Amino acid sequence: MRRWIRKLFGLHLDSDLRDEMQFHMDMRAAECEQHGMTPEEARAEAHKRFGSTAIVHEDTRRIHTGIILETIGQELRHAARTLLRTPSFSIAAVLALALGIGSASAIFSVVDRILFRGLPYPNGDRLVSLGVRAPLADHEFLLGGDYSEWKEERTAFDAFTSTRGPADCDVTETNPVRLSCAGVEWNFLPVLGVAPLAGRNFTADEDRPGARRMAIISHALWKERYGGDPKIEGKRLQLDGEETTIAGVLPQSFEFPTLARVDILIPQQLNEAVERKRQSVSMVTAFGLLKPGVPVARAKATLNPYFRNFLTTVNPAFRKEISLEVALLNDVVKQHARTAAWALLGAVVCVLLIAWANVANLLLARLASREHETGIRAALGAGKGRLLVHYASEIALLAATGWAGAMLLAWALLAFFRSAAPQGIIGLRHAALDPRILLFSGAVLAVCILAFGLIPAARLRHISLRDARIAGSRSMGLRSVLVTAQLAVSVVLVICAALLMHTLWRLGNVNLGVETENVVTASVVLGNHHFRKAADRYAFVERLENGLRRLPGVSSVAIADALPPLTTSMPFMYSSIAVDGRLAPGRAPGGMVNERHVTPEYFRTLGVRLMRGRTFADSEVNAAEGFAILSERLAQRLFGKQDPIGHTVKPTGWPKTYTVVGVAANVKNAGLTTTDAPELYIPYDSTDGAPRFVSAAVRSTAAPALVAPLIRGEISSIDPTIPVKLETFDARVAALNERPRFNAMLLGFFATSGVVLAAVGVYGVLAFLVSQRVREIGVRMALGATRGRIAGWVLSYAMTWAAAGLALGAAGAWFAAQRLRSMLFEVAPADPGTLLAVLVVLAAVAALAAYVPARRAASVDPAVTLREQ
Amino acid sequence: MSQSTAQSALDLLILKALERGRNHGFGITNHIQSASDGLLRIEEGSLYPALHRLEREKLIAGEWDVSENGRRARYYSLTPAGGKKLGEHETQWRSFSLGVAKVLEFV
Repeated sequence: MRRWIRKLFGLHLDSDLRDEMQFHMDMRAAECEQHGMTPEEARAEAHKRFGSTAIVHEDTRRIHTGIILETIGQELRHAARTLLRTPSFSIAAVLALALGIGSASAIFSVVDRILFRGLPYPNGDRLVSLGVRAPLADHEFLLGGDYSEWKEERTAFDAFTSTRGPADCDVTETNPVRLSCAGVEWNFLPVLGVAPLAGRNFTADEDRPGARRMAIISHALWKERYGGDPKIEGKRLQLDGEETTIAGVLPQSFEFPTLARVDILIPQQLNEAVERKRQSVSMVTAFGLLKPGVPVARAKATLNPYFRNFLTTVNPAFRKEISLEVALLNDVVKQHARTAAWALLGAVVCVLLIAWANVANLLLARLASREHETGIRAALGAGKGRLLVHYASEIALLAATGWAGAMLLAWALLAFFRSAAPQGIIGLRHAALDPRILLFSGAVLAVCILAFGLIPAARLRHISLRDARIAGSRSMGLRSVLVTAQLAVSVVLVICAALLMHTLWRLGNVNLGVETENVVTASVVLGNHHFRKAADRYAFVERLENGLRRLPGVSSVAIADALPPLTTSMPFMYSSIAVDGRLAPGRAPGGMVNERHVTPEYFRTLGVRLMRGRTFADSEVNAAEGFAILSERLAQRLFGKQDPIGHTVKPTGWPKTYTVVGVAANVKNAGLTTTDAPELYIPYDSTDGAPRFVSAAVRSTAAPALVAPLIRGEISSIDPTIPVKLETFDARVAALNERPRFNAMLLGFFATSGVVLAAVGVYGVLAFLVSQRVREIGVRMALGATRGRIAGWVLSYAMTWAAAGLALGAAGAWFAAQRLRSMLFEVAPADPGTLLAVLVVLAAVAALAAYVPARRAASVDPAVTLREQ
Repeated sequence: MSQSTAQSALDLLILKALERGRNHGFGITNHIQSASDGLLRIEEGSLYPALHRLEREKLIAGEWDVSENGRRARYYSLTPAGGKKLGEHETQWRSFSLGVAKVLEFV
């Protein structure tokens, strides 16, 4: 055996060849010496007559290599032919390997970042996000003045940096486009440890108020708009009407700390002097770089005195609603997608297990049938070594094909992630196959093949004819267990997927409180270049409203700073509202109230019912006195059962006092899944009531495709340089379900894979069972069993496995579903409807998988089989 | 002469040389040169690729042994398949060279 392998690989070839050639030349030299030459002359003559030893060696070597390759080629072709003779086995095996390893590779590549590595910053493990948490904002922040004091702290921190935004910004030159800009402190990239891919970072000077406008652009923007020009530094860009110079380019894998989409970084130019005097107050998101080895708790302790200082500037009534937050940035960021990531990981492990079980079953079955064949061949005198090599090369070919399929699937999945992944999950937008995964998948493959293919196959060598016949039944028990396990795991997968889909369906059916049909929305941002003053913005809104109303087919127009279910960017504290001139001290902390600027037709356009009172009159728009409409929830909180109409409300610090003229029905305004926040509607105002964000909702009788261009045209005629985002209302809302939809799709894909694989597994084992027990079937039929009884007998196997699998699976699914709770919406983890549906479906699948083997069993001809002894 | 014709000629010579009994590469070379009265002087090294190819094709069999002067040498002998091939080759070659001679003599 060993000699044969050595011969196969020609390991001794070189030295033997040298010996052979040397012998020849020595003999020739000896002959020449006998003819009278000197030893040197003889050797020279021998060399000359021999020719170039190098070339001879090369040529001979080539002959051998050719033979080796030819042998391997022959072996593979033979293996391929054998595999193609049993297409169902081969396809099933390759499919199992491809699905299992492919999806596992893709998911492992991706969740690694989410669950373990976090953000791609070199300083990632020392970065903390810090600030005060108040009902005012959904994540911690610091006021500009406070930040400039806090960042002096050097006991626990090496450095601080801050950001503002991101916010919409427009490129206002030849190809206007809406982008996302974030203001950052000049040291932002260095603190993260990130270096620009091209160009340079900002300097401290560029971060001073009034300095020349600079920008660092994203990799994608660099490629799209500048073709990846390496001489990017110094190029110009018109941003929101102002000349901006590009300083550098971000690396491709860069993610903003809040995971928001950011196209451009600009210096935030925080005016520290102004901030400290609290003349004008900005909110920044602050990050700190811990000194090496400093734990987060200690850092938080060192910031406490600063925090207490900050509290002294806050109205005592609100102090208890505010807290200090210091947390590792990676922890904060992983939180968002943690459950989803674990769910994906769990799903993919399930698929992998099912696939593995399939491959195991298939190989065991094949081995068993091989034993029979081998026994016969051995009895006829065939070389066992040869048979083993044949078997091994078949397995190798299967493994290679399966692996190729797996890589293809992984590539496709990752491409899908890159294009369709929702914002807010790290790493998905840049998903690429982790090279370690290639190794990992190869290793997994090798283990699987070894365990279930080659090791038992080595037993082949010692097989005899007698053994071969009994071989088949031995591993049946193991195979039954595997199939039941497969079914159980599929049940878990399918139930989880079904729960997510149910959630998605529910999200799609959430009652928004508005009528969304036939409504087209347009949103713009009024940049500083043309709309610096509130009066300009107000004029825009007025012109837009009138212009849109005149469009053909339009029944009503609403303009607001944001449309539901989105919240506006201006919530204020509930506890700051004075009713009829009186604040209610000691009023329980009430969270936030939304402030929404609207035109009078807003309620009619969106179908929001006015429970009491009326909408604004034209005279009340842009009036000196203030008028307001309360949402039902706000009215109930402030006034209880009392009629609010005619009373006044005034939030602290607002210039006007607002008389209540109406109460509107509740509308979802804080996203789809959260309960709506109390809302205060006020009309537009040309002095200070004209926000930069403007959204229009147009209800028309014409089709959206016809209305949209008209709207765009109207906005263009007012100002052609601002980009417009046009969507139907329904499309907007659907976009909010990006994440749940993504989760449901992905899990659905895995669940389907799992079920398909399990079905194939059931089919495979049953087919094998039938082929092994053909004689038994023949006997039974000869003894009087009907075809129906035989089919039933086969089916009963399938049903037993299904029952056991479903029971185990249901239990497992219950545990899994509990973990998914945070991803579910209005769907209980133990939702009985879902459970029942899944069980029925899976029982049907098992029956279907058993159909063909059952039929084959039923069509066995006893006369034929009994004859084969 | 084309490569393959030269190759098959060399094969024929080697197989014929081994018909007399086993020999090593050196011995075969000498035999060819002396039996052809010096008319065929092949570059001696070129024998070896041919020998190895013939061995792979199972027309000759090689084994290591000790030579007359006590050195390790590789000896080749004709296999039954090789003997058959030699017969075919010889017949083909004879009719080929007869044909060439006839064409050359044709006026």
